[in-house]
Amino acid sequence: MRIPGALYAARGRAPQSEKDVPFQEILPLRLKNTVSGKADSGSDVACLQEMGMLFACMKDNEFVEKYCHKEIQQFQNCFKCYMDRKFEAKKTVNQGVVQPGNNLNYKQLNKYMRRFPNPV
Amino acid sequence: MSKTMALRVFGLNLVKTNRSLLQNACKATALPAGQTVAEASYATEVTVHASPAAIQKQKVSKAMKAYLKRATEHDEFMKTQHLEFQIGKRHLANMMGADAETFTQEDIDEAISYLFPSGLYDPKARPAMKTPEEVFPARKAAEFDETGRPFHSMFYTGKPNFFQLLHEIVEETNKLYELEERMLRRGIKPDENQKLEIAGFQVLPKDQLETQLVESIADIEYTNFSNSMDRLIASPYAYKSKAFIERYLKPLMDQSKQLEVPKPKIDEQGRQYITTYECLRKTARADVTVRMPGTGKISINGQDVSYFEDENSREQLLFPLNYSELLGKVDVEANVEGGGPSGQSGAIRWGIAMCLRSFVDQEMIESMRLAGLLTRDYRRRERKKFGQEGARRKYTWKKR
Amino acid sequence: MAVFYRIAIQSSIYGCRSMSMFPKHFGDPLRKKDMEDLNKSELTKFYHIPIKAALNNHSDTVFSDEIKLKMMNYITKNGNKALARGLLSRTFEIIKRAQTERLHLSPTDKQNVNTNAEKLLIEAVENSRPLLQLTSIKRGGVNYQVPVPITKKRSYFLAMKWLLDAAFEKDKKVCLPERLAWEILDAAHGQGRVIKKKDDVHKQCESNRAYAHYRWS
Repeated sequence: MRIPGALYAARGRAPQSEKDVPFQEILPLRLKNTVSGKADSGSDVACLQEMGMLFACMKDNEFVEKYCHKEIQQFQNCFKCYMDRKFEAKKTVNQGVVQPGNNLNYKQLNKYMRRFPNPV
Repeated sequence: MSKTMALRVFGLNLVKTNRSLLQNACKATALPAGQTVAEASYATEVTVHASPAAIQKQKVSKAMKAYLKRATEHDEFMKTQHLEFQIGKRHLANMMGADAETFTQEDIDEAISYLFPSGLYDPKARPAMKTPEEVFPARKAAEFDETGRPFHSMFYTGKPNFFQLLHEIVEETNKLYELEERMLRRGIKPDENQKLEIAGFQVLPKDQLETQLVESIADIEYTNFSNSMDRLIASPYAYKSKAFIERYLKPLMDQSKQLEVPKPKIDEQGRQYITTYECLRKTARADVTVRMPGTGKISINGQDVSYFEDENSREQLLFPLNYSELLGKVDVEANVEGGGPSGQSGAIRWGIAMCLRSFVDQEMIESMRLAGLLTRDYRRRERKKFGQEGARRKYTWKKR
Repeated sequence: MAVFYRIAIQSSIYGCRSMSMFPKHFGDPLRKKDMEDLNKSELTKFYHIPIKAALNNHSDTVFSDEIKLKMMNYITKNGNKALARGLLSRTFEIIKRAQTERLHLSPTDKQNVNTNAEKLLIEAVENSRPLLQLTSIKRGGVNYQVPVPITKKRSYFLAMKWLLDAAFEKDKKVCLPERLAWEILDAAHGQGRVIKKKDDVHKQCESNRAYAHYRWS
């Protein structure tokens, strides 16, 4: 959106003149067709809350497991789910197999964008 | 003129590799074509119609010339190989004292393993004599006409047959999708009874697909192929293109072998008995006889179960008997040689299980198969590799 | 003159097979119990799949048990499995004797005394299975002991290892089966060294709970 120069004038600063400072396209004004995989490694820490609940219960009951049956069950189920998901992801997501959904891995995104690149 | 030359060359050798060219030539000159259409239709599918006069006047292209040269060379080579093979076969037959005319490939293999015993571990490394067709892989026929113009629109992909196949699969899939759309709009559901059963099949493995297409395929291309096949098979109307799909499926198991159960014979005491010879496991070899109304007597090389000193081997012997609930109802006699206690007991276990098939019902046989009793355990000791401590284990890494 | 070719024999059905293992599409053998659990339609799925041969330490009897087999493998030293089998059966004998004696000594509560040695072993292993484990992770030059959840398989392994470690740690006069029998009996009743070790691990994990988010594995 263009901002009228008068607005800057009111604040005491003259806008740059395009003649004096010509616009230079240092980098192309277009997004790249790839994303880097750096930020996508994700947090590997799973089941922290369940673990905390388990610890609280264990401490209360002096580490006797039979009183914390529910917590243990929850914790183990959570970890099992996490491992299963990781295993599944190894087969599909990390290979870059594109599947419908909005939560895409960087490999999937790259594959997708290669198929539908930005118009030049 | 050039065409007549080509015809002469190919007329000499009716070899599979240049069948298509020959067909084309035959068509052009209206000669009777005496050979059958190839089972893999790829190389032969493309036909050239009588070329217009303008093209006929043109010279034969360099590519065609080179191809013709290669083809004649290959034909000559194959001819000599065939000749040598025939001579070799005759010699072998002579040596074995058999008739050369009726000497089959099986006889050849037998003769070779008898005359040239090999201690080499890998069967691939042992001497063999096969027909030249088996040894030298089939080559593609010419993919372009005399002017050098390719027949196939995807010639320049380098793998026209493979990409043609991919196109065909996608075409089939799209057809099925359209059908599904139409049926949905009419409110008709796919027929559940006709549903394609692919439980016992797998998509053609890479090497077989390669031989079928006469093209080498990269791994990723094979994944593309299998993915698109999966997509086609997953369609609810897949049974509509059953014939197409089945061309690229392979059964996982030979069912007919499972059903052959030998009939028990009757011995002099009027008892049913059945003998399994050649029960192999590791280096042990046994033959096992099971007699039906019995008291559970087991004799191995004339001794009873105490032939095996360790408990595990004894347990192995009883496994099939116990599983089929015939323990104490049959007698077992076994002769075993070679190998150690584990191999011997494994051999006898397999022999007993194979014999017991004749005395139990079909359901129990299937159950025994699922328990892994009827599978011949052909695993052998894996050889030690050089540069390694054993078969798999590497030496401890030392920096210097 | 005969011509011999060194050729790669194109295998007819299964592609290239290695002699030391079964091809990939072979299924694992099922136990009778598994087969009963599956219903008809699930069983027909196996109808077309070739099955691997049963291993030579398998036998589908009431006495065969996964944990027992594993325990036997863990006892084994230098591949002498026959000896390990003997030791384990001796252990079971000692347990059986001890429990029977206990049964006769306590006429009041005969229901509470378990004389099934195999069941006792399973119970002991189940009782000594840990939930968490400490791994040391280096962050900024400092090693932190971080509690991590462990898989089911590893928890079984640790339980059996601890049982055996406790048994191997003995004076020379007492033989292994005897010591192992007492460890199993103790663990089955929720006491003894192994259970204490498990509780110690849990306590350590609890005291290091602040580092739990350092985990990266």
